[in-house]
Amino acid sequence: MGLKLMKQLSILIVLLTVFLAGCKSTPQPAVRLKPELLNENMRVGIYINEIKPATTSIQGADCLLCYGVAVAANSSLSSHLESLPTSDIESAKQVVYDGYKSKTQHVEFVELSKDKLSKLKKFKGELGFAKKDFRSLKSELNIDVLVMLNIHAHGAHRMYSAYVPVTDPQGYVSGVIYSIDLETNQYLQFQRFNRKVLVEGEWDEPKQQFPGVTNAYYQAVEKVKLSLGNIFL
Amino acid sequence: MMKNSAKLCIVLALGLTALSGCKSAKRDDYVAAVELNKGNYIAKHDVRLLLNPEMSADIRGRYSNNRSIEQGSMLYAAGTPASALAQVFAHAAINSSLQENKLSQQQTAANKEIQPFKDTIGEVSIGNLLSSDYLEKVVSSDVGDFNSVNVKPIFFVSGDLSHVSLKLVSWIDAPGKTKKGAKRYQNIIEVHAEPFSDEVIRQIRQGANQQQLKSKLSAMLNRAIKSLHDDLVGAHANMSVQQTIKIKSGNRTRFIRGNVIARSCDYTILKNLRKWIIHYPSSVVANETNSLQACHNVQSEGTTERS
Repeated sequence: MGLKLMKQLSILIVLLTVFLAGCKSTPQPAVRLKPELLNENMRVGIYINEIKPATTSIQGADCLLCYGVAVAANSSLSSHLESLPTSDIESAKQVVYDGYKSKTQHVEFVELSKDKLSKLKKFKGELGFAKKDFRSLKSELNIDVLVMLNIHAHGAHRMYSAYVPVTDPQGYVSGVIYSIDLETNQYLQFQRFNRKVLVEGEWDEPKQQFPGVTNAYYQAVEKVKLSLGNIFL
Repeated sequence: MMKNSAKLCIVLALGLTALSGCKSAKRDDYVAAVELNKGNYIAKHDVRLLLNPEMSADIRGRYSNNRSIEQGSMLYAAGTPASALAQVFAHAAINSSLQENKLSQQQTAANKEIQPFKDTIGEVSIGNLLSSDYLEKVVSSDVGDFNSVNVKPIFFVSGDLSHVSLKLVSWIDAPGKTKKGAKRYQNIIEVHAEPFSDEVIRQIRQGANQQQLKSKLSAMLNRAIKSLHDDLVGAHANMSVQQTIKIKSGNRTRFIRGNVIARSCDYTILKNLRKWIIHYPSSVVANETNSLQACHNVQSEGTTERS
Protein backbone atom coordinates (compact mmCIF):
# COMPACT_ATOMS: atom_id res chain seq x y z
CA MET A 1 0.00 0.00 0.00
CA GLY A 2 2.83 2.34 1.04
CA LEU A 3 4.81 1.38 -2.07
CA LYS A 4 1.84 2.13 -4.35
CA LEU A 5 1.37 5.54 -2.73
CA MET A 6 5.07 6.29 -3.19
CA LYS A 7 4.84 5.32 -6.85
CA GLN A 8 1.81 7.58 -7.40
CA LEU A 9 3.57 10.42 -5.63
CA SER A 10 6.67 9.97 -7.81
CA ILE A 11 4.59 10.08 -10.99
CA LEU A 12 2.85 13.20 -9.73
CA ILE A 13 6.21 14.88 -8.99
CA VAL A 14 7.53 13.94 -12.47
CA LEU A 15 4.39 15.29 -14.16
CA LEU A 16 4.53 18.50 -12.11
CA THR A 17 8.21 18.96 -12.99
CA VAL A 18 7.47 18.49 -16.70
CA PHE A 19 4.57 20.94 -16.43
CA LEU A 20 6.66 23.56 -14.62
CA ALA A 21 9.59 23.11 -17.02
CA GLY A 22 7.22 23.98 -19.86
CA CYS A 23 6.39 27.31 -18.20
CA LYS A 24 9.76 28.79 -19.07
CA SER A 25 9.95 28.62 -22.84
CA THR A 26 12.58 30.34 -25.01
CA PRO A 27 11.55 33.94 -25.56
CA GLN A 28 10.89 35.08 -29.09
CA PRO A 29 14.00 36.90 -30.39
CA ALA A 30 13.66 40.15 -32.35
CA VAL A 31 12.70 39.81 -36.01
CA ARG A 32 13.74 42.62 -38.34
CA LEU A 33 11.16 43.72 -40.89
CA LYS A 34 12.34 42.66 -44.32
CA PRO A 35 11.10 45.25 -46.85
CA GLU A 36 10.86 42.61 -49.59
CA LEU A 37 8.10 40.86 -47.62
CA LEU A 38 5.84 43.88 -48.07
CA ASN A 39 4.51 45.10 -51.38
CA GLU A 40 2.23 47.99 -52.25
CA ASN A 41 -0.82 45.77 -52.71
CA MET A 42 -0.59 44.21 -49.28
CA ARG A 43 -3.42 45.11 -46.92
CA VAL A 44 -2.15 45.98 -43.43
CA GLY A 45 -4.29 46.30 -40.30
CA ILE A 46 -2.88 47.95 -37.15
CA TYR A 47 -4.24 47.11 -33.73
CA ILE A 48 -3.20 48.99 -30.59
CA ASN A 49 -4.21 47.86 -27.14
CA GLU A 50 -6.11 50.11 -24.76
CA ILE A 51 -3.55 52.36 -23.10
CA LYS A 52 -4.12 52.91 -19.40
CA PRO A 53 -3.01 56.12 -17.65
CA ALA A 54 0.70 56.43 -16.83
CA THR A 55 1.79 55.19 -13.41
CA THR A 56 4.82 54.03 -11.41
CA SER A 57 5.99 50.46 -12.09
CA ILE A 58 7.70 48.93 -9.08
CA GLN A 59 10.15 46.06 -9.48
CA GLY A 60 12.12 44.15 -6.84
CA ALA A 61 9.77 44.72 -3.89
CA ASP A 62 9.17 40.99 -3.80
CA CYS A 63 7.10 40.39 -0.68
CA LEU A 64 3.50 41.53 -0.51
CA LEU A 65 4.14 43.92 2.36
CA CYS A 66 7.27 45.31 0.63
CA TYR A 67 5.22 45.97 -2.51
CA GLY A 68 2.48 47.68 -0.50
CA VAL A 69 5.06 49.90 1.23
CA ALA A 70 6.71 50.74 -2.13
CA VAL A 71 3.38 51.60 -3.77
CA ALA A 72 2.42 53.81 -0.82
CA ALA A 73 5.82 55.53 -0.86
CA ASN A 74 5.39 56.41 -4.54
CA SER A 75 1.69 57.23 -4.41
CA SER A 76 2.05 60.99 -4.97
CA LEU A 77 4.25 60.38 -8.02
CA SER A 78 1.77 57.82 -9.36
CA SER A 79 -1.15 60.22 -8.85
CA HIS A 80 0.72 62.90 -10.78
CA LEU A 81 1.59 60.52 -13.63
CA GLU A 82 -2.02 59.37 -13.83
CA SER A 83 -3.07 62.97 -14.39
CA LEU A 84 -0.89 63.31 -17.53
CA PRO A 85 -2.61 63.07 -20.91
CA THR A 86 -2.05 59.82 -22.83
CA SER A 87 -2.10 61.59 -26.22
CA ASP A 88 1.71 61.52 -26.55
CA ILE A 89 2.05 57.77 -26.05
CA GLU A 90 -1.04 57.17 -28.19
CA SER A 91 0.60 59.05 -31.06
CA ALA A 92 3.02 56.09 -31.33
CA LYS A 93 0.37 54.37 -33.44
CA GLN A 94 0.63 57.16 -36.02
CA VAL A 95 4.39 56.46 -36.33
CA VAL A 96 3.58 52.81 -37.10
CA TYR A 97 0.81 53.84 -39.52
CA ASP A 98 3.12 56.25 -41.39
CA GLY A 99 5.84 53.58 -41.54
CA TYR A 100 3.57 51.00 -43.18
CA LYS A 101 1.97 53.67 -45.36
CA SER A 102 5.41 54.27 -46.88
CA LYS A 103 5.48 50.59 -47.90
CA THR A 104 1.91 49.91 -49.00
CA GLN A 105 -1.25 51.78 -49.99
CA HIS A 106 -3.72 49.82 -47.87
CA VAL A 107 -3.19 50.57 -44.20
CA GLU A 108 -5.94 50.91 -41.62
CA PHE A 109 -6.47 50.73 -37.89
CA VAL A 110 -8.51 47.72 -36.83
CA GLU A 111 -10.60 47.07 -33.73
CA LEU A 112 -10.38 43.77 -31.89
CA SER A 113 -12.18 43.05 -28.65
CA LYS A 114 -10.31 41.50 -25.71
CA ASP A 115 -12.78 38.66 -25.86
CA LYS A 116 -12.00 38.03 -29.51
CA LEU A 117 -8.25 37.97 -28.86
CA SER A 118 -8.52 35.65 -25.87
CA LYS A 119 -10.68 33.21 -27.82
CA LEU A 120 -8.10 32.75 -30.58
CA LYS A 121 -6.75 29.20 -30.63
CA LYS A 122 -3.19 28.36 -29.65
CA PHE A 123 -0.77 27.94 -32.53
CA LYS A 124 1.79 25.16 -32.25
CA GLY A 125 4.66 26.64 -34.23
CA GLU A 126 8.36 27.13 -33.64
CA LEU A 127 10.05 30.37 -32.73
CA GLY A 128 9.22 32.90 -35.39
CA PHE A 129 5.52 32.07 -35.33
CA ALA A 130 2.81 33.76 -33.25
CA LYS A 131 1.68 31.83 -30.19
CA LYS A 132 -1.99 32.31 -31.10
CA ASP A 133 -3.54 31.47 -34.41
CA PHE A 134 -4.38 34.79 -36.03
CA ARG A 135 -5.06 33.30 -39.49
CA SER A 136 -8.83 33.43 -39.08
CA LEU A 137 -8.63 37.24 -38.98
CA LYS A 138 -7.44 37.40 -42.60
CA SER A 139 -10.88 37.02 -44.11
CA GLU A 140 -12.70 38.54 -41.17
CA LEU A 141 -10.77 41.84 -41.29
CA ASN A 142 -9.93 41.62 -44.99
CA ILE A 143 -6.20 42.18 -44.38
CA ASP A 144 -2.98 40.29 -45.19
CA VAL A 145 -0.81 41.49 -42.32
CA LEU A 146 -1.85 42.24 -38.76
CA VAL A 147 0.34 44.64 -36.76
CA MET A 148 -0.06 44.47 -32.98
CA LEU A 149 1.25 47.34 -30.87
CA ASN A 150 0.95 46.59 -27.16
CA ILE A 151 2.02 49.20 -24.61
CA HIS A 152 2.37 47.20 -21.38
CA ALA A 153 3.46 49.96 -19.00
CA HIS A 154 4.33 53.63 -19.16
CA GLY A 155 5.14 56.36 -16.68
CA ALA A 156 7.98 55.78 -14.23
CA HIS A 157 9.99 52.72 -13.22
CA ARG A 158 11.67 52.20 -9.88
CA MET A 159 13.77 49.28 -8.64
CA TYR A 160 13.53 48.13 -5.06
CA SER A 161 15.37 45.72 -2.82
CA ALA A 162 12.63 44.55 -0.44
CA TYR A 163 11.41 47.75 1.28
CA VAL A 164 14.18 50.03 0.07
CA PRO A 165 14.60 51.73 -3.33
CA VAL A 166 17.88 51.11 -5.15
CA THR A 167 17.20 53.50 -8.02
CA ASP A 168 15.51 56.85 -8.41
CA PRO A 169 12.34 56.74 -10.52
CA GLN A 170 13.10 56.76 -14.24
CA GLY A 171 10.94 57.65 -17.23
CA TYR A 172 9.55 54.40 -18.59
CA VAL A 173 7.74 52.88 -21.54
CA SER A 174 7.60 49.14 -22.20
CA GLY A 175 5.75 47.02 -24.69
CA VAL A 176 6.00 44.99 -27.84
CA ILE A 177 5.27 45.47 -31.53
CA TYR A 178 4.91 42.63 -34.00
CA SER A 179 3.40 41.98 -37.39
CA ILE A 180 2.01 38.66 -38.50
CA ASP A 181 1.57 37.25 -41.98
CA LEU A 182 -2.03 36.05 -41.75
CA GLU A 183 -1.43 33.40 -44.41
CA THR A 184 1.23 31.54 -42.39
CA ASN A 185 0.91 33.03 -38.87
CA GLN A 186 4.63 33.84 -39.11
CA TYR A 187 6.16 36.97 -37.62
CA LEU A 188 7.24 39.44 -40.29
CA GLN A 189 8.61 41.65 -37.54
CA PHE A 190 8.96 41.34 -33.76
CA GLN A 191 10.45 43.82 -31.30
CA ARG A 192 10.15 44.35 -27.58
CA PHE A 193 10.87 47.78 -26.14
CA ASN A 194 11.74 48.57 -22.58
CA ARG A 195 12.92 52.17 -22.49
CA LYS A 196 14.11 53.72 -19.22
CA VAL A 197 15.36 57.30 -19.05
CA LEU A 198 17.24 58.80 -16.12
CA VAL A 199 15.94 61.94 -14.47
CA GLU A 200 18.38 64.83 -14.84
CA GLY A 201 19.21 66.01 -11.32
CA GLU A 202 16.70 65.87 -8.50
CA TRP A 203 13.55 63.81 -8.96
CA ASP A 204 11.62 64.29 -5.69
CA GLU A 205 9.78 67.52 -6.50
CA PRO A 206 6.15 66.97 -5.43
CA LYS A 207 5.44 70.71 -4.98
CA GLN A 208 6.44 71.38 -8.60
CA GLN A 209 4.53 68.31 -9.87
CA PHE A 210 7.61 66.15 -10.46
CA PRO A 211 9.02 68.05 -13.48
CA GLY A 212 12.18 65.89 -13.61
CA VAL A 213 10.33 62.57 -13.76
CA THR A 214 7.71 64.02 -16.13
CA ASN A 215 10.43 65.15 -18.52
CA ALA A 216 12.12 61.74 -18.33
CA TYR A 217 8.76 60.11 -19.10
CA TYR A 218 8.24 62.25 -22.20
CA GLN A 219 11.82 61.45 -23.24
CA ALA A 220 11.08 57.72 -22.94
CA VAL A 221 7.92 58.18 -25.04
CA GLU A 222 9.81 60.01 -27.79
CA LYS A 223 12.65 57.48 -27.77
CA VAL A 224 10.17 54.63 -28.19
CA LYS A 225 8.55 56.51 -31.07
CA LEU A 226 12.00 56.92 -32.63
CA SER A 227 12.72 53.19 -32.32
CA LEU A 228 9.29 52.40 -33.82
CA GLY A 229 10.14 54.63 -36.77
CA ASN A 230 13.49 52.87 -37.15
CA ILE A 231 11.67 49.60 -37.92
CA PHE A 232 11.02 50.94 -41.41
CA LEU A 233 14.53 52.22 -42.20
CA MET B 1 18.40 40.36 24.70
CA MET B 2 16.01 41.11 21.82
CA LYS B 3 15.48 44.63 23.18
CA ASN B 4 19.22 45.18 23.20
CA SER B 5 19.58 44.03 19.59
CA ALA B 6 16.77 46.40 18.55
CA LYS B 7 18.57 49.28 20.30
CA LEU B 8 21.82 48.29 18.61
CA CYS B 9 20.10 48.27 15.22
CA ILE B 10 18.63 51.74 15.86
CA VAL B 11 22.05 53.09 16.90
CA LEU B 12 23.57 51.47 13.81
CA ALA B 13 20.89 53.01 11.57
CA LEU B 14 21.41 56.47 13.08
CA GLY B 15 25.17 56.08 12.78
CA LEU B 16 24.94 55.09 9.13
CA THR B 17 22.55 57.94 8.39
CA ALA B 18 24.96 60.40 9.98
CA LEU B 19 27.94 58.90 8.15
CA SER B 20 26.14 58.93 4.83
CA GLY B 21 26.20 62.72 4.97
CA CYS B 22 30.01 62.77 5.20
CA LYS B 23 30.66 62.19 1.53
CA SER B 24 27.74 63.90 -0.09
CA ALA B 25 27.51 64.82 -3.74
CA LYS B 26 27.37 68.48 -4.78
CA ARG B 27 23.85 69.67 -5.43
CA ASP B 28 24.34 73.41 -5.79
CA ASP B 29 23.49 73.20 -9.50
CA TYR B 30 19.83 72.62 -8.68
CA VAL B 31 17.12 75.00 -7.41
CA ALA B 32 13.34 74.87 -7.36
CA ALA B 33 12.27 77.90 -9.39
CA VAL B 34 10.50 80.80 -7.70
CA GLU B 35 9.28 83.24 -10.34
CA LEU B 36 8.48 86.92 -9.92
CA ASN B 37 4.81 87.83 -10.05
CA LYS B 38 3.59 90.10 -12.82
CA GLY B 39 3.40 93.04 -10.42
CA ASN B 40 6.90 92.43 -9.04
CA TYR B 41 8.95 92.67 -12.21
CA ILE B 42 12.02 94.84 -11.80
CA ALA B 43 12.43 98.01 -13.85
CA LYS B 44 15.09 97.67 -16.57
CA HIS B 45 17.63 100.06 -15.03
CA ASP B 46 17.19 98.77 -11.46
CA VAL B 47 18.66 95.31 -12.00
CA ARG B 48 21.95 94.91 -10.08
CA LEU B 49 24.19 91.85 -9.94
CA LEU B 50 25.59 90.62 -6.64
CA LEU B 51 28.83 88.76 -7.23
CA ASN B 52 32.53 89.02 -6.63
CA PRO B 53 34.25 89.74 -9.99
CA GLU B 54 37.59 88.58 -8.53
CA MET B 55 36.19 85.12 -7.91
CA SER B 56 37.58 82.32 -10.12
CA ALA B 57 35.20 80.71 -12.61
CA ASP B 58 33.82 77.44 -11.25
CA ILE B 59 34.54 74.89 -14.00
CA ARG B 60 33.39 71.31 -13.38
CA GLY B 61 33.34 68.05 -15.28
CA ARG B 62 30.05 67.02 -16.84
CA TYR B 63 28.84 64.06 -14.81
CA SER B 64 26.21 61.34 -15.04
CA ASN B 65 23.19 61.61 -12.72
CA ASN B 66 22.76 57.86 -12.50
CA ARG B 67 22.66 56.99 -8.77
CA SER B 68 21.32 53.46 -9.33
CA ILE B 69 23.07 50.77 -7.33
CA GLU B 70 23.24 47.02 -7.76
CA GLN B 71 21.92 45.08 -4.81
CA GLY B 72 20.84 41.48 -4.31
CA SER B 73 18.02 40.43 -2.02
CA MET B 74 18.21 41.52 1.61
CA LEU B 75 17.47 39.13 4.46
CA TYR B 76 15.92 40.64 7.57
CA ALA B 77 16.26 38.78 10.88
CA ALA B 78 13.00 37.92 12.63
CA GLY B 79 12.34 39.78 15.87
CA THR B 80 10.14 42.43 17.37
CA PRO B 81 8.47 45.07 15.16
CA ALA B 82 10.96 47.61 16.52
CA SER B 83 13.96 45.55 15.45
CA ALA B 84 12.38 44.91 12.04
CA LEU B 85 11.83 48.64 11.60
CA ALA B 86 15.38 49.36 12.70
CA GLN B 87 16.70 46.89 10.13
CA VAL B 88 14.67 48.54 7.36
CA PHE B 89 16.01 51.97 8.38
CA ALA B 90 19.56 50.59 8.45
CA HIS B 91 19.03 49.09 5.00
CA ALA B 92 17.65 52.42 3.72
CA ALA B 93 20.57 54.36 5.23
CA ILE B 94 23.12 52.01 3.64
CA ASN B 95 21.43 52.31 0.24
CA SER B 96 21.15 56.06 0.46
CA SER B 97 24.82 56.29 1.38
CA LEU B 98 25.80 54.02 -1.54
CA GLN B 99 23.73 56.11 -3.96
CA GLU B 100 25.22 59.39 -2.74
CA ASN B 101 28.73 57.91 -2.89
CA LYS B 102 28.15 56.80 -6.47
CA LEU B 103 27.07 60.30 -7.50
CA SER B 104 29.96 61.85 -5.61
CA GLN B 105 32.45 59.47 -7.28
CA GLN B 106 30.99 60.31 -10.70
CA GLN B 107 31.41 64.02 -10.01
CA THR B 108 34.99 63.49 -8.78
CA ALA B 109 35.87 61.36 -11.83
CA ALA B 110 34.37 63.96 -14.21
CA ASN B 111 36.33 66.75 -12.52
CA LYS B 112 39.54 64.71 -12.74
CA GLU B 113 38.94 64.17 -16.45
CA ILE B 114 38.86 67.90 -17.21
CA GLN B 115 41.75 68.82 -14.91
CA PRO B 116 44.28 68.99 -17.81
CA PHE B 117 42.16 71.67 -19.57
CA LYS B 118 41.72 73.58 -16.31
CA ASP B 119 45.48 73.50 -15.77
CA THR B 120 46.21 74.87 -19.22
CA ILE B 121 43.67 77.72 -19.12
CA GLY B 122 44.66 78.59 -15.54
CA GLU B 123 42.57 80.67 -13.18
CA VAL B 124 39.95 82.78 -14.96
CA SER B 125 38.11 85.40 -12.94
CA ILE B 126 34.41 86.04 -13.48
CA GLY B 127 35.23 89.72 -14.00
CA ASN B 128 37.38 88.80 -17.01
CA LEU B 129 34.50 86.89 -18.57
CA LEU B 130 31.83 89.57 -18.05
CA SER B 131 31.28 92.28 -20.64
CA SER B 132 31.84 95.87 -19.53
CA ASP B 133 28.08 96.58 -19.69
CA TYR B 134 27.37 93.92 -17.10
CA LEU B 135 30.45 94.71 -15.01
CA GLU B 136 28.90 98.15 -14.47
CA LYS B 137 25.86 96.45 -12.96
CA VAL B 138 27.89 94.47 -10.42
CA VAL B 139 27.56 95.64 -6.84
CA SER B 140 28.89 94.23 -3.56
CA SER B 141 26.52 92.81 -0.97
CA ASP B 142 26.86 95.82 1.37
CA VAL B 143 25.46 98.21 -1.25
CA GLY B 144 23.01 95.77 -2.81
CA ASP B 145 19.32 96.58 -2.49
CA PHE B 146 15.91 94.98 -2.76
CA ASN B 147 16.37 94.40 -6.52
CA SER B 148 19.93 93.03 -6.41
CA VAL B 149 20.20 89.50 -7.71
CA ASN B 150 22.80 87.01 -6.52
CA VAL B 151 24.43 85.08 -9.35
CA LYS B 152 26.56 81.98 -9.18
CA PRO B 153 27.85 80.69 -12.54
CA ILE B 154 28.91 77.02 -12.80
CA PHE B 155 30.48 75.85 -16.06
CA PHE B 156 30.32 72.20 -17.10
CA VAL B 157 32.75 70.74 -19.62
CA SER B 158 32.68 67.15 -20.86
CA GLY B 159 35.94 65.20 -20.82
CA ASP B 160 36.11 65.05 -24.62
CA LEU B 161 35.21 68.76 -24.92
CA SER B 162 32.24 67.85 -27.09
CA HIS B 163 29.89 69.65 -24.74
CA VAL B 164 30.30 72.92 -22.83
CA SER B 165 27.45 74.42 -20.83
CA LEU B 166 26.74 76.92 -18.09
CA LYS B 167 24.27 76.91 -15.25
CA LEU B 168 23.73 80.37 -13.80
CA VAL B 169 22.14 79.92 -10.40
CA SER B 170 20.43 83.18 -9.47
CA TRP B 171 18.32 84.32 -6.54
CA ILE B 172 16.93 87.35 -4.70
CA ASP B 173 16.42 86.91 -0.97
CA ALA B 174 12.96 87.66 0.36
CA PRO B 175 12.90 91.02 2.20
CA GLY B 176 12.11 91.55 5.86
CA LYS B 177 11.73 88.98 8.57
CA THR B 178 10.55 86.11 6.45
CA LYS B 179 11.48 82.45 6.92
CA LYS B 180 15.25 81.87 6.82
CA GLY B 181 16.38 81.09 3.29
CA ALA B 182 13.09 82.28 1.74
CA LYS B 183 13.54 83.63 -1.77
CA ARG B 184 11.71 86.36 -3.64
CA TYR B 185 13.15 85.02 -6.89
CA GLN B 186 15.17 81.91 -7.68
CA ASN B 187 15.99 80.24 -10.97
CA ILE B 188 18.62 78.65 -13.19
CA ILE B 189 19.59 79.99 -16.60
CA GLU B 190 21.27 77.24 -18.59
CA VAL B 191 23.27 77.95 -21.75
CA HIS B 192 24.62 75.24 -24.04
CA ALA B 193 27.46 76.27 -26.32
CA GLU B 194 27.69 75.64 -30.03
CA PRO B 195 29.90 72.51 -30.25
CA PHE B 196 33.59 73.00 -31.05
CA SER B 197 34.91 71.67 -34.33
CA ASP B 198 37.24 68.63 -34.15
CA GLU B 199 40.16 70.87 -35.12
CA VAL B 200 39.52 73.32 -32.25
CA ILE B 201 39.13 70.43 -29.79
CA ARG B 202 42.52 69.09 -30.95
CA GLN B 203 44.10 72.54 -30.51
CA ILE B 204 42.63 73.01 -27.01
CA ARG B 205 43.82 69.56 -26.00
CA GLN B 206 47.32 70.53 -27.11
CA GLY B 207 47.06 73.76 -25.12
CA ALA B 208 47.27 75.85 -28.29
CA ASN B 209 43.85 77.52 -28.44
CA GLN B 210 42.81 78.26 -24.87
CA GLN B 211 41.53 81.70 -25.89
CA GLN B 212 38.74 80.04 -27.87
CA LEU B 213 37.58 78.16 -24.77
CA LYS B 214 37.71 81.35 -22.68
CA SER B 215 35.75 83.26 -25.35
CA LYS B 216 33.12 80.55 -25.32
CA LEU B 217 32.80 80.71 -21.52
CA SER B 218 32.55 84.49 -21.73
CA ALA B 219 29.88 84.43 -24.47
CA MET B 220 27.84 81.92 -22.48
CA LEU B 221 28.05 83.94 -19.27
CA ASN B 222 27.02 87.19 -20.96
CA ARG B 223 24.15 85.43 -22.73
CA ALA B 224 22.97 83.98 -19.40
CA ILE B 225 23.14 87.36 -17.64
CA LYS B 226 21.17 88.96 -20.50
CA SER B 227 18.55 86.21 -20.19
CA LEU B 228 18.39 86.64 -16.41
CA HIS B 229 17.85 90.35 -16.94
CA ASP B 230 15.02 89.59 -19.40
CA ASP B 231 13.42 87.21 -16.89
CA LEU B 232 13.56 89.79 -14.09
CA VAL B 233 11.96 92.51 -16.20
CA GLY B 234 9.23 90.15 -17.44
CA ALA B 235 10.38 89.72 -21.03
CA HIS B 236 10.13 85.91 -20.80
CA ALA B 237 6.52 85.97 -19.62
CA ASN B 238 4.85 85.11 -22.94
CA MET B 239 5.01 81.41 -23.59
CA SER B 240 3.97 79.15 -26.43
CA VAL B 241 2.13 75.83 -26.11
CA GLN B 242 4.00 73.10 -24.20
CA GLN B 243 5.77 70.68 -26.53
CA THR B 244 8.51 68.06 -26.62
CA ILE B 245 11.60 69.58 -28.17
CA LYS B 246 14.16 67.37 -29.89
CA ILE B 247 17.82 68.20 -29.31
CA LYS B 248 20.27 66.47 -31.64
CA SER B 249 23.93 66.86 -30.81
CA GLY B 250 26.33 64.55 -32.66
CA ASN B 251 25.03 61.01 -32.33
CA ARG B 252 23.09 61.86 -29.20
CA THR B 253 19.39 62.69 -29.31
CA ARG B 254 17.55 63.96 -26.26
CA PHE B 255 14.16 65.47 -25.67
CA ILE B 256 13.02 68.31 -23.46
CA ARG B 257 9.45 69.02 -22.52
CA GLY B 258 8.79 72.72 -22.23
CA ASN B 259 7.72 75.97 -23.87
CA VAL B 260 9.71 77.83 -26.48
CA ILE B 261 9.95 81.45 -25.30
CA ALA B 262 12.20 82.94 -28.00
CA ARG B 263 13.99 81.82 -31.11
CA SER B 264 16.59 83.36 -33.34
CA CYS B 265 18.98 82.11 -36.00
CA ASP B 266 21.65 81.55 -33.31
CA TYR B 267 19.74 80.32 -30.29
CA THR B 268 16.41 78.84 -29.24
CA ILE B 269 15.33 79.69 -25.70
CA LEU B 270 12.90 77.49 -23.84
CA LYS B 271 11.48 77.10 -20.38
CA ASN B 272 11.55 73.51 -19.16
CA LEU B 273 9.04 71.92 -16.77
CA ARG B 274 11.16 73.13 -13.84
CA LYS B 275 10.73 76.69 -15.23
CA TRP B 276 14.48 76.88 -15.81
CA ILE B 277 15.41 78.98 -18.83
CA ILE B 278 17.50 76.97 -21.27
CA HIS B 279 19.40 78.26 -24.30
CA TYR B 280 20.26 75.81 -27.07
CA PRO B 281 22.07 76.66 -30.30
CA SER B 282 19.31 76.57 -32.96
CA SER B 283 21.54 74.25 -35.00
CA VAL B 284 20.97 71.40 -32.50
CA VAL B 285 17.21 71.96 -32.03
CA ALA B 286 15.67 69.55 -34.53
CA ASN B 287 12.26 71.32 -34.47
CA GLU B 288 14.04 74.46 -35.69
CA THR B 289 15.54 72.91 -38.85
CA ASN B 290 13.17 74.77 -41.19
CA SER B 291 13.71 78.12 -39.44
CA LEU B 292 17.46 77.52 -39.56
CA GLN B 293 17.28 76.86 -43.29
CA ALA B 294 15.46 80.18 -43.68
CA CYS B 295 18.26 81.88 -41.67
CA HIS B 296 20.90 80.36 -43.98
CA ASN B 297 18.95 81.50 -47.01
CA VAL B 298 18.70 85.06 -45.68
CA GLN B 299 22.42 85.06 -44.85
CA SER B 300 23.45 83.71 -48.24
CA GLU B 301 21.16 86.27 -50.01
CA GLY B 302 22.87 89.00 -48.01
CA THR B 303 26.29 87.70 -49.04
CA THR B 304 25.27 87.56 -52.70
CA GLU B 305 23.93 91.13 -52.60
CA ARG B 306 27.15 92.41 -51.03
CA SER B 307 29.31 90.60 -53.57
